[in-house]
Amino acid sequence: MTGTLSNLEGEIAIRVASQGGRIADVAVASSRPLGASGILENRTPAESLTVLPMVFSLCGNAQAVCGLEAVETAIGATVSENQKAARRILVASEAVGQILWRVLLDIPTAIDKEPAFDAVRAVRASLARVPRYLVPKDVWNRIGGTALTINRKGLDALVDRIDGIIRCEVFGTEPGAPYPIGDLDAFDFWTAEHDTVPTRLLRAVGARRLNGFGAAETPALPDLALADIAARLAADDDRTFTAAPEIDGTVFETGSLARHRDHPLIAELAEEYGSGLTTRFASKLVDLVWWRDELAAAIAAITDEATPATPAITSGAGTAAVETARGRLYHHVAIEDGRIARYRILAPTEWNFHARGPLVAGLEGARVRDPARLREATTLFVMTVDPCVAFDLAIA
Amino acid sequence: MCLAIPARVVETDGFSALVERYGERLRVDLTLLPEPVEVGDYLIVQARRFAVNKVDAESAAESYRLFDEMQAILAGAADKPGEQQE
Repeated sequence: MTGTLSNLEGEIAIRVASQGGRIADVAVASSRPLGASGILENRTPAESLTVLPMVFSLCGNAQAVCGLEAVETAIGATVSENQKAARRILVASEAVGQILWRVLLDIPTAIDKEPAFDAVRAVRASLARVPRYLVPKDVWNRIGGTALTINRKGLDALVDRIDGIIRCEVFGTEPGAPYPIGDLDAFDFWTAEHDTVPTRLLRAVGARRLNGFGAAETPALPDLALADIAARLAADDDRTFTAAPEIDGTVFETGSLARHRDHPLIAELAEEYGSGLTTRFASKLVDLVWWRDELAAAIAAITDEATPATPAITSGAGTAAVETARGRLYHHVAIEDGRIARYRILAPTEWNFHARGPLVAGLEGARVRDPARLREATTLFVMTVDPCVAFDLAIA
Repeated sequence: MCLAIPARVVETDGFSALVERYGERLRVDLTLLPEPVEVGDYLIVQARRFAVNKVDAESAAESYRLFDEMQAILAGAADKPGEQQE
């Protein structure tokens, strides 16, 4: 091991200037190493796809799936619906774990509410077994797919475990009762009457009049044509686009709130509080149930499969998009003479923490009644916008 | 893109650990780890706060080799005009 850590891991520095409880100015700077994807170049595609989950920890499954799909697009390989279901299981289970972490651990801690460590630890232990429930004796991230031997009992038990945690720790509702995210009436009643980590947080946000803190309008990232993103990433040698993505001058938001803007509860909350703290936190709960349903649907669809044929590696370029807990992830590869000549990654954090993105737009002009609460409110808001690396918040 | 840089345990009381990676020392919470930790173990840390996985020495060595290579790539890019490292 050589060198120092500086500039390797990076973080997001958020600098806030305030006056009497009102945020007057916000500056965001990222020191994340965008050139880190260079580690994936000058290798064979198989080598790169082995390295990917070794270096990217937070959403390693999503990164690996996005890389696989970009390579498969580049070489013109198709994979079976079973392989796609296996990858959906890996991505969705990872997303469930990430959202539970935020909802039960990070966000409550930011507002001095007791986190649910045991639940997060239990679900992480269950999630760690998912790859073995699909591919017992091999790696799952092979180009073109791999032999699938489905442990249905294990996967069903995983969904039961997740359902138990969502029901007991998140919503605190009786078995068989609908989750209280159908509409605003059900949500308000649940917030007032139930006692869980999320309701304690929501009540504290309400008591401190922070429901609308951070409300601002940022358009949701639309389903951009992959060819459009591919052209931008292919031409991004100086990494201007991956550092601060925008399309024709517009910066978009991606993630839980963008995914569920049209959900009845989120639409009602947005009418009342805009895209402020309560709406954002509620969108995490809606997203959690959505990912759980994604996981269950993929498990219902998957069956055993023999080893697929290994596709030939040909020259070409490919781009893939994968939804993750924090938003849409893009990978772009160019293969020349059997090796990766160009690898570009566009992570959701680059949209959401753009200098004109939802974090900055939400914080600029935001105010709290009690200036002593400004740090707490701002930290909470950053957590709900949800960066994929550590952040450093300074308020002056 | 949170990087999975292994951190070596320097000291621990069972609940938290002082870890080191590339000369940087961090105090990390062990609450989420399902297994006990000893001095000399290697941990993956999320958002500079929680240890989330234990990795064996061989995997840690392979990771360090990759991150050394990544640092060299980033340093090389920094030397080229027009290459942004952020």
